[in-house]
Amino acid sequence: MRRRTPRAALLIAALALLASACGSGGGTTAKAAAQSNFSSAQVTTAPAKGPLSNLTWYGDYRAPYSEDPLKTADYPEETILGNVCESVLRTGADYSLNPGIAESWSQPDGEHLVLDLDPRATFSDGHPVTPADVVYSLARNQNPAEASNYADSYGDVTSIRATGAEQVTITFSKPDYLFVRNLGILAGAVVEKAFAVKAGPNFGNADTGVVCSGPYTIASFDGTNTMVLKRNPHYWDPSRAARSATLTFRFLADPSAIANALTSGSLDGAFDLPPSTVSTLSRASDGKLYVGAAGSTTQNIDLIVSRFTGTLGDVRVRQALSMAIDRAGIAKTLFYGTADPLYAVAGPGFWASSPAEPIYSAAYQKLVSAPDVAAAAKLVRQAGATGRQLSIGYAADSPAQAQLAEVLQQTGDSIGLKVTITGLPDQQYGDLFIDPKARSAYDSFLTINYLEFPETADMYMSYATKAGIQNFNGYTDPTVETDLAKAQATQDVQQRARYVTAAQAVIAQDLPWIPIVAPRALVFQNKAVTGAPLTFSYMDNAWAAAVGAP
Amino acid sequence: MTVTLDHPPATAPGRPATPGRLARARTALGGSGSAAALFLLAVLLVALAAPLLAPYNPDLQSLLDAYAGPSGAHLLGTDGLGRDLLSRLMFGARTSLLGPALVVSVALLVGIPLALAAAWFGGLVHALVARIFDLVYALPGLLLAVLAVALFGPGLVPAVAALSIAYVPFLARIVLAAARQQRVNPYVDALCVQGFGAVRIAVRHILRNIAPVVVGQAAIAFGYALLDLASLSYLGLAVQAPTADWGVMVSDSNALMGGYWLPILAPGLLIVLSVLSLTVVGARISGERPQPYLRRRSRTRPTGAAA
Amino acid sequence: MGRLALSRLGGLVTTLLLSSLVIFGSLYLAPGSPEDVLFGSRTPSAATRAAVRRQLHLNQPLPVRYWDWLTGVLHGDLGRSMVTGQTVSSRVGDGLGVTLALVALSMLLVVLFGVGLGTAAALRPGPVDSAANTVTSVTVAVPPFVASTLLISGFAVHLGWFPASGIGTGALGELRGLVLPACALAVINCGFLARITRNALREQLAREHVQTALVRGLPRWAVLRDHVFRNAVPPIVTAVALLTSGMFASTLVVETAFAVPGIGMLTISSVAQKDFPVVQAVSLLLVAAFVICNAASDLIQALVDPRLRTAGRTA
Repeated sequence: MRRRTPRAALLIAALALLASACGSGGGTTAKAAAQSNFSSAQVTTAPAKGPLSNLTWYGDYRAPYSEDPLKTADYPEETILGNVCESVLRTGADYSLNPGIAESWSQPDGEHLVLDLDPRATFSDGHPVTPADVVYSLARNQNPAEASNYADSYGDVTSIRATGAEQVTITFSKPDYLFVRNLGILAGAVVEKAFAVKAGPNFGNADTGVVCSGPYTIASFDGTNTMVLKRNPHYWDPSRAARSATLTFRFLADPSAIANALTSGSLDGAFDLPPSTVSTLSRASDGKLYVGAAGSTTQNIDLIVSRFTGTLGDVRVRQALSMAIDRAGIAKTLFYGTADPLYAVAGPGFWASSPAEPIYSAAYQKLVSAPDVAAAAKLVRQAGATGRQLSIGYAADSPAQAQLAEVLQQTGDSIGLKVTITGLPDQQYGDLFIDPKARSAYDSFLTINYLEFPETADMYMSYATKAGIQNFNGYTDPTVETDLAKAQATQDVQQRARYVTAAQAVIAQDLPWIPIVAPRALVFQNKAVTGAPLTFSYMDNAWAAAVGAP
Repeated sequence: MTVTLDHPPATAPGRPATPGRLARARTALGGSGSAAALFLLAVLLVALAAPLLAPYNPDLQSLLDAYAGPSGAHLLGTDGLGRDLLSRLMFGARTSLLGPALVVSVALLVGIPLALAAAWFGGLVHALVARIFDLVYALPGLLLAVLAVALFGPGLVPAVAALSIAYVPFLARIVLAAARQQRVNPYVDALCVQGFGAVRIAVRHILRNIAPVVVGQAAIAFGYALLDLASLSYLGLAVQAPTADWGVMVSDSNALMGGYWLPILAPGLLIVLSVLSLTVVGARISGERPQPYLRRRSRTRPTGAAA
Repeated sequence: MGRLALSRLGGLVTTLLLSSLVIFGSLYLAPGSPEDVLFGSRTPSAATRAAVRRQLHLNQPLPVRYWDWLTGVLHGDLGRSMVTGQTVSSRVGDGLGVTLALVALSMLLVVLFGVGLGTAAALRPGPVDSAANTVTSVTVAVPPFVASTLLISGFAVHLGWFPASGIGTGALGELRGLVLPACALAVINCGFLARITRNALREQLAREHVQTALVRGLPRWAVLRDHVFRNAVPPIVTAVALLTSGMFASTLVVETAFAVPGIGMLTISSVAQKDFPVVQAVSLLLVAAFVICNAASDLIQALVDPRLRTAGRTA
């Protein structure tokens, strides 16, 4: 039977669809940049008043690889595990260091740190936390068999010993007033020695678990989609006991899945939201999207130079690339206004709340400049690099990084470089940070970097000194080394700021990392719950204990 | 399934003059088929002439004009990075057509000799080849491509290689069935007796006679390969951003969430229309209705109601 | 009939074995060492790395590893995930349930609309038939990912009737979250089934015994029920089985588009993470589903049509 020209009908339908799309396409939804709706003085949402039976939260883009707090330092682990495994000290919502398992601490001199433990502290199985447990837990970081992600922070620690019935002393090889910060994050997490030793290599597996002293314990974990924590009924500090009986974490990578879960109520809240969810979430009716002001997190999005043997080996090329990047355009379009142009890797997020803020701010203002493509192209020509290849690697799973890579490609092309970008799947992207061979295939790669607490010196030390754990390209400069070492040995915050800004001036010229933008805090909270922190302090802390009914 | 032949054996000398080839093509294609063929031709032309026809460089970004609606400057508006949509669609035709072309070419290059050999020799050779086809057919093409990407990283080459392997049985079975039918014809024996070699008979006579079926099936395979590759590009496993490609353009999740229809609808529509045209044209050329899912097992006798 | 069943079963097992060999072998060709996955972003010492390789039996030759794995599978032990350390069967188990629900819902839609449309087209020649033809011609060209995007655009973002991604909690929420993905999967297959139904019914309607029965005065509905539909069922059921098998492959795309946590999405994510034991298990599951449905369609056909019971292969 002959078909009666379905093609004609189809073409008409196609045109009709196009016409309707043309009519409604573009511009109907607000493209206005998101406005910040809380000041930097506000560090948490309204305090909770009542208990909850269940709290469901976004656990970030994937399930944790392990329940062991030391195994991986990444968003999922650091968002969740701080609620199960407490650290020696507790970081408050305003980044202040407070008593945790240690009720007090002091540094009699630069090379010693003395911790006095709280005798009330007990693990979830009832056993008390002893100095032996603390020594074991901290020393795990230095054990190569454990391959702790925080091993580099212990680089200057020469000994950790129990020096009393409730006392532990840490000794350094040189004066160090910065190390104590690490005791407030998962690098200072305390686990029960007997259980860990017995579990051996299975410690932290989904089937074996961990025994720690936090307000929650892990009830179940399916390895992929959901992790359920339940309140620890024997938690040793009743003033900070968990308000919600159970805490469920769900892991989603797709931005629209996240937005959807939040607006439909199947998630009560989320940190670290992808920027593309902003338009949907700002319209949500039963929850609030908190958008921070500039400098509300320590996150920084940078282009890491992985080798100096390629096109980026010439400092003029790096400076030219940095000069040509349209940071304001990127912040507005790719991040919907929830990011700010960044001109130094340790930007306002690191020092805005510091007492030495005027010193940092003055130094930072000198680095702010508008993009200048013509001058950048000229610089490239002077360096003789016109037409040379430049490769950029990025995390294929992150839509924000993928778009940013495309923009950088265009930027590079506009100043005379030939830029190729390569999207890498999860594991291969992670390899870039640990395997020099994997890195050597690319001239540079993108990263969304962060430090769990705002300490400018630590940020620069991690990538701009010879021994820095994130120094991938072998960058070193004698004045930077000296200045940062002096900063580490200085207790006075103002003096430290002077050393750091001196180092920063050199680093900003040499550009071993090229800073691009700094994301702002994005936190969503359903009306039915409150109490979540608004700062980056949620990483590595028992933030969930404070979340309850309004 | 029965195969109808549209041409007499090619060796018959002194054929009566037939109507012009264009006229014959148009009658064979029919109304809808002609429209489809024209559409395909248009897409091919645009793909070839894209650098000349496109108003903008498809990679030229303009961050502050992201997701602009249609206007005088941009006839179809812009995408998330401010690139002109029309130009990207034009250049997208290139990658969207190149991949399937490679898949079908390789599948034919591998499949036709295998199928002809199996049809000619029969017996053990035929059994072996049929077995291999069955095994490869058991592995879904998409899964093979995903595995290939796992091994060799994302890119057009691994995806095309995997899909080529997956499509060999799809095409070769048709060739095999048709060639077997031809094989038992008396003219083949006549040519054998005359002393012509097996290869010559197979290529010059058998293949030529079954050409319409093969070409028709190849067109349909082209359409399905286009769908598969577009799906893979949508998943980010084949063509990579920022290359303009219809499959990649459909995966713009920011447009989806922001409610911008055009950057996603336009490439999707082009994919659908292309595949539709290919299936219609393919069906007309091979002279029968395409039902690939049922044609999985080529039978030489009719099975009940499946037409 | 018994011989046919046995030969089909034999074919199924052979195919599965050969496929497992291909899947197992190819994954170890991948560049990079499999055990790197376990270390995440840490640099292990040489001793630690050697210990892990021993633990995972990676220091043994390939055929030995394959045999170990195969015997394990036959005992129900699919190994442990290299990323989370859980047993593969528990990781796959949850996803399998979701995918089966999705495919079942989708096939329900396909049968309802496909058979419905095909029947309407067969019984009402003329404008209804033409309209049905147009619709089916278009739908067979709409790939699942385009259908997904259109459905999300229209029903989720614009109208808000269904969630754009993910599945909710609880039975009802889960069902609501599966509706759009099921539709996306169903679109391309509805058209095929409608065509096949229509052709099958038309062929039966043209049969002599049907004409005779109508002429003899039997009521039309009785003739339709007893002669036309009944005889048209075999090819329709065959088609349904074949479409189901193809649908499992399409879940790779649709589950990713809708962020549905089934085995399709698990395949894609475990491939990205190079979690080899999980990739092997889910690939094999998908192939098995594909092969079982095909074999089932053959057997059903043979069951209903005695002429097809000789076990010989054709073509």
